[in-house]
Amino acid sequence: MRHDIVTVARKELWEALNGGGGRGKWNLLFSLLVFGGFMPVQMGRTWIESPVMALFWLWAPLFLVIQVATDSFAGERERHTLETLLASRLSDRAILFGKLGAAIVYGCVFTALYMIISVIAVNVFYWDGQVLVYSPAVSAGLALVTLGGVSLIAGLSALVSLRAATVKRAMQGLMIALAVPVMAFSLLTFLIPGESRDQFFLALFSADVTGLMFVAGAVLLGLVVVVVLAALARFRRARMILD
Amino acid sequence: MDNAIRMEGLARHFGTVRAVDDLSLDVPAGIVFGFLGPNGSGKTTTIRLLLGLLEPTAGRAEVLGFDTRTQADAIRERCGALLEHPGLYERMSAQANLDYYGRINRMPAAERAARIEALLTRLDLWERRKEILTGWSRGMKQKLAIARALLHRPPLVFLDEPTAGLDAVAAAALRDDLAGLAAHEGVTIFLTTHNLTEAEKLCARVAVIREGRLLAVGSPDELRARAGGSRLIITGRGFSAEVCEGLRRLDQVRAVECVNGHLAVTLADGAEAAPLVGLLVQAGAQVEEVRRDSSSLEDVFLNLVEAA
Repeated sequence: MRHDIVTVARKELWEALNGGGGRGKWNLLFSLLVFGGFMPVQMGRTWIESPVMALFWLWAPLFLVIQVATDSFAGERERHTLETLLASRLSDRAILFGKLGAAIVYGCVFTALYMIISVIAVNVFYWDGQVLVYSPAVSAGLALVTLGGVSLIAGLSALVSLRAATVKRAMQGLMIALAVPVMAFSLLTFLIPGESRDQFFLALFSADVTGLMFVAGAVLLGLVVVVVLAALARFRRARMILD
Repeated sequence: MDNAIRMEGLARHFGTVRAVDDLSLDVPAGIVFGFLGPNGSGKTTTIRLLLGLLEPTAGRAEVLGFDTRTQADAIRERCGALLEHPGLYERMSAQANLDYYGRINRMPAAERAARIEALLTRLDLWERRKEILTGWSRGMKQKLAIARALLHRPPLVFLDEPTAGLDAVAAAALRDDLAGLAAHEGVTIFLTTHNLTEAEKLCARVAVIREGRLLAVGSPDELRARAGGSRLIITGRGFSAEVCEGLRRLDQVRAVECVNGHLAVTLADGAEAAPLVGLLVQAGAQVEEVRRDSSSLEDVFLNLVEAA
């Protein structure tokens, strides 16, 4: 099955980079320049000294992953290529994991690239005689959170995309799905008494960020397993064609 | 294997709509089989059922000896398909499209490259192999989709209306390509169409369905014989009103028409032509020519569909 997954993933990555008449590559390059160059230079040394800053900007690769993953099934359905793919010898798992894998690789490689570029940019613009880099623990934490976040978003996007008629519908569905936990969190913080809320945020901001990253990464990867299992259960060729 | 496809009481319902209804049919291996029916008659649904993309509501089907419910993966591994849409990646080149499906079908690199070159050359697409497909005509895309279906040398190929939407010239060219490919590759081709000329030229056997039900099956000649074989066209002189009336009174004659000096006689089932001609001569008519009316497959199809 590994050969099949790689075959599907290679084609997905090719489409992600060459889609829209080659715009994919330029979009990627532009994003790398903004998030790897412009933003870190604006932030200065804080970009590297505070891991919170790097965490905050992780939303950027997530948006790129959404584009690739929502296109995975809904895009093929919209362009009338899905049924032919489903009529091939590929197994359900090979198709799903190939498409998911491509989105995850795309997001992780982009994040790694923009982190590397940002470290170089900060060192070039704010050189003080010492090379400034993330500590090994922070690097590992960021890698874990990136992997978990990118995988979760890719999984959710693919899950929504499985039955969506168009990419636009998949995007809308995903935005609603993502808005629910954000709204719930906001509501919760609004409903709990002010003193408890203050204590919660105080504890959150004074906590060991590196440790929190490992916890968050582990939680995210746990959620990824749930989402992937849900996507496998939702992968029904008949429904995917008729939808 | 005698039959590439076997359907027994196959049915697929969508709510109250019976897309395929109690379909029992055998498709012999190694022929071009035409599956004819008007739009919405259940042709595409049948292909989806045979490829295991849809579960039947009732009945069963075997494709290349594999059950569509339980062995769909084995079927898809051994079949090629051109479905309702060409299903090509338009942002990729023709060669890249075929290469992708070659990889999917686990063809070794050298074999894949040689096969792609052979197919694209035969279909006159080799010179344009590196172009992306966005600017291609529909006919060229159809040809490429057929090449993709044949790429891994499957023993059975499903072609869902391969000439749909093509102009007459492109359709004729594609038909020639298809006939050549079928003869050269020696595969079973299950072809759905509502183009009767296409079926007549390409298919060794045809089945006619309407509203999911099988109306007739046989070779185009057999179907024509069933529908038009009982009609005689007699050319000559002396076909007076009395002669015509005399014929009408015969048990073996159903109807008699006299048109432009020709006598069109519809015979009853099993009636022979020779005794009738003898009677005409005895009645004083001069018979120059007697021939059986050969209906086109289109006439047969329209009669079957209207009767249903």
